[in-house]
Amino acid sequence: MARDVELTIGYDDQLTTVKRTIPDDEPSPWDAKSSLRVVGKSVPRVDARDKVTGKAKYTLDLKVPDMLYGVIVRTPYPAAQVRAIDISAAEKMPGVRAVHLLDRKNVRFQGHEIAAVAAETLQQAEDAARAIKVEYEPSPFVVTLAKAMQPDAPLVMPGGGAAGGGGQVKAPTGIVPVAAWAADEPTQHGNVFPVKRSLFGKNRGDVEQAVRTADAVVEQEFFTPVQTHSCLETHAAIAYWEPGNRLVVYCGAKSVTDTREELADHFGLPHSQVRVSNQFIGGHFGTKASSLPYAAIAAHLARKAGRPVKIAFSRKDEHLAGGNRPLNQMKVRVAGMRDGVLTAVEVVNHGSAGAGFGAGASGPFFSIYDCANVHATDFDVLMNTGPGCAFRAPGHPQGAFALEVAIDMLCERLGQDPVEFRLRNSCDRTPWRADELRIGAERIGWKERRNPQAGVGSGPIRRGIGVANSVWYSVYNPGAQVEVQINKDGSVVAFTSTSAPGGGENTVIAQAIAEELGLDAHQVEVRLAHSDYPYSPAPGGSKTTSTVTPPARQAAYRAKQTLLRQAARKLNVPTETLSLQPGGRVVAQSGQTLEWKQACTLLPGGKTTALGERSDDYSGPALALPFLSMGQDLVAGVQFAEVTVDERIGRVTIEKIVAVQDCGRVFNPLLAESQLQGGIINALSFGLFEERVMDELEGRMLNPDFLFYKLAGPREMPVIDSVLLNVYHGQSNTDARNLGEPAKVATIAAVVNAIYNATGAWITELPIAPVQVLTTLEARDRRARA
Amino acid sequence: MREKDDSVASPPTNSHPASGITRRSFLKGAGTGAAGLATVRLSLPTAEAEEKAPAASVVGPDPMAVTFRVNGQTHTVRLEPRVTLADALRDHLDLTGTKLICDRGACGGCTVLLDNEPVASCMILAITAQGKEIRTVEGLAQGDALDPLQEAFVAHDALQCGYCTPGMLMSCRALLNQNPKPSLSEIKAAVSGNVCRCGTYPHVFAAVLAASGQDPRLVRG
Repeated sequence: MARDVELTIGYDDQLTTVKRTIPDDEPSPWDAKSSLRVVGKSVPRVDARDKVTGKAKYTLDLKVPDMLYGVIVRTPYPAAQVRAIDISAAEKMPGVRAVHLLDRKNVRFQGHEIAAVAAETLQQAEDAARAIKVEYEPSPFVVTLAKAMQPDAPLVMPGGGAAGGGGQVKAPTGIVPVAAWAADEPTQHGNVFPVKRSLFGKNRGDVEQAVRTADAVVEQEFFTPVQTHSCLETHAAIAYWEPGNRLVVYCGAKSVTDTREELADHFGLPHSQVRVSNQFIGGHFGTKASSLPYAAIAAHLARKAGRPVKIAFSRKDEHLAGGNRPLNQMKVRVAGMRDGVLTAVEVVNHGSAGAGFGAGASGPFFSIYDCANVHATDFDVLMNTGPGCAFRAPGHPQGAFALEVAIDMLCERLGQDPVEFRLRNSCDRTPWRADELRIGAERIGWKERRNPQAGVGSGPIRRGIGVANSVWYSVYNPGAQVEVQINKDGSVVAFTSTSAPGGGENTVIAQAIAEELGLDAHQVEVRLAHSDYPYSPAPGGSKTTSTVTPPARQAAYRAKQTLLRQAARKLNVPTETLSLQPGGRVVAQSGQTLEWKQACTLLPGGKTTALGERSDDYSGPALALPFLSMGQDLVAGVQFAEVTVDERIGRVTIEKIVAVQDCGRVFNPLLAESQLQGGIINALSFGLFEERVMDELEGRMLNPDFLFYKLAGPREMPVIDSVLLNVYHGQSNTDARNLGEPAKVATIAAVVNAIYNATGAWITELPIAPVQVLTTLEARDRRARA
Repeated sequence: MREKDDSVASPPTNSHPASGITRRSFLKGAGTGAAGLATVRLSLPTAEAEEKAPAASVVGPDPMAVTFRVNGQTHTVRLEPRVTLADALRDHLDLTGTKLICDRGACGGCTVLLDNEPVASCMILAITAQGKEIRTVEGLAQGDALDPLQEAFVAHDALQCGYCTPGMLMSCRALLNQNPKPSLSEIKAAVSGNVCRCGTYPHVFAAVLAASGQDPRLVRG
């Protein structure tokens, strides 16, 4: 059954009415005209109190009775054959209760797991781990892109088809290809794998033809280094076995349901015999997807010892094997006409996720501009370094850096204003981007304060302003479920399996339910991240608010119907004449009322439970894959940067970022601002400071810590002026979209374009460290002299 | 001040009064440097000074009884002398609000107040904290009543995943204890040793401004 509704959609004053067909027992969708009481308000985070009092228990904080401490033995070699492992000494060490050997004949990166030991104390486990003797036959290796791409380079995954062969290569156990779709049946050339298709778009038009007839063409190569996730809470797991061969695991998995399946399959158990949960996660940013091998190792040790075992990554382990953002070398070509039309966009990207796949960066090239001729090619290049995985907007900060800087280079050649050029070329698919560009330009002072000519001015400190576009997708998971329970005492609890790594997932669920029931968000308890709860996906792809708030609201709506039926019987009026008003008060058209708690006492059996399910977007998906769907609409954002550059020492200071961002319906402005600022700051950290440094001779990471792997800190913070734009699409009952990833996409390109405006020099390699800046300025000065 | 605080109040100790510095106080100094408020003035002991120093009483490696004052309560636990204050709080007292993040004094996650000074508890041996007043994030609230700083963190959403939050709070509490109306740059300096991966810094600044009776919109320039 279905019914038709009329919804008002759009943004600002650009509102229109559309007809949508919605499932029959769906609450009337909120649209642009809905007047809401809790949703759209700055409700404090529901778990904030636990977090500020230190009561929040993260996996690293948990202890269970009788728990042993496990330590993983990791190889120091980037590539080697494992000849022999001698555990005899370790087994006799004080406190040792179990030793586990992985079935691993070849190691492919420093930090690859070999064995593990469990002991009474962490110190004893560490001592025993050191006493495990592994005999290696070191093999040739590659840890730089240039070397990995050479035809005679040592193969990172030999046996999967030699150079020129066509064999299928599978990632080793425990390495989750971020883009399994990207590496299906690849034709391998040495370590280089062409990616057959991108999740984010298709080639269109004829780039060569457009380039031949263009007024100006820019060809430029860009490079971005590896960024490690550096979650403050490292990967950790506690595993134990219950009678009946049931496995219980606490781990900071972003998807407890995926982890349950992964571990059940690993141990050959029915999925129902594995239980995975967590309470709090100290950040994931895309990693913490796979529990292999670390949680499985904890379970193996627990089985051998007959006691619970906890395994936690050290900070060094986290840098080496905790995932990372792949590096990218992108050759970009863009072309345009003097009248300001962009006619061609092309990229050839060689990325490396180390001993893993998924280093594509083509998304922004397909998605930001309306350009008729686009061609993007991604190659995955394997290296003997820790495998990459999804990291906040996979491929997009890199791709947008390359594309948006190339676009400004083109603007310079064409004599076009970068804002005008973007208004002309990037606002057809996302018309609200034009609003964002105008708002941002005004707030940064584009017309008055930007240097009319790049690099003008004198003195050592130069100031400049730049702009860049961001793009993301309307990602969601149809079929996700939320259960809402109303109890006799008036308490309300929601259950769903997604996790809460800090994006406010639990808060927005509480808001959606509270709005429907007439309650405050803090009256709704939200329980997440337990594999026995109804399924909802991992936060990832920026889809949680979009995915879980519609079923949360629907479940509340359904539970409400039960409550109102009971109230109607009590008041002796028809159910249709009842509604829930603020405070949860049941009000009848007859004027009779029941207080929330009074009504709840009427529930049969003391409670009622209802399940809501995420329907497809009302207009259907643009792309439906087994692990996610994408709606018809894009998410657009614009960022402006103001920088100063000290030309004497090559130091760049970010003075101000103006961010104007669409995220569908803004569910909670306060938390949304946190997330938007967080994306910007993570991007600044990536662009200015972070770099995994590999020793080419030894194949090891030189900075696996927080002393020499620099993260942006408080002193580097610019003023951030963020504006959130409500954009209504009429696609679900809450019409929420997403924010986490789009926030990170544009920042660095805006900074680099601002540096050009300040100095007249283009940065094409990250991070923007002083040495990079000084080298770039020197090249500028050489050109000026020539 | 900390840099003068070169001997521990109760045995065991192997301090060298002659050099005015011990390895442990150097560790402490380095740790507080990371917490951002240190005015560390250190001279490293020379090998010669070490040799001339009187023989110290030796403790460990076996576990020993250690007595702490934490959040106004006295605890006695048995631990090895090599155990850091951070590990003692987390593993022996189950005060897991204090987070261990980098284990090298580089992130501020384990910041606690030691006699009202912010220190990186991962850089201090537990035995040297005896006789001092230790305050952790669990000691900020009085029963159900949150510290005004905690209230401001909640109201201004100065946290996302929450893992850096206890360290941030302790650095900020120390700042406000010494400077009830800090400027924005003083706030940034006070938390300059605290790393937040979610990127919540601007809301932390806003919360501290609000908690000190100032306009949180100063953060927006």
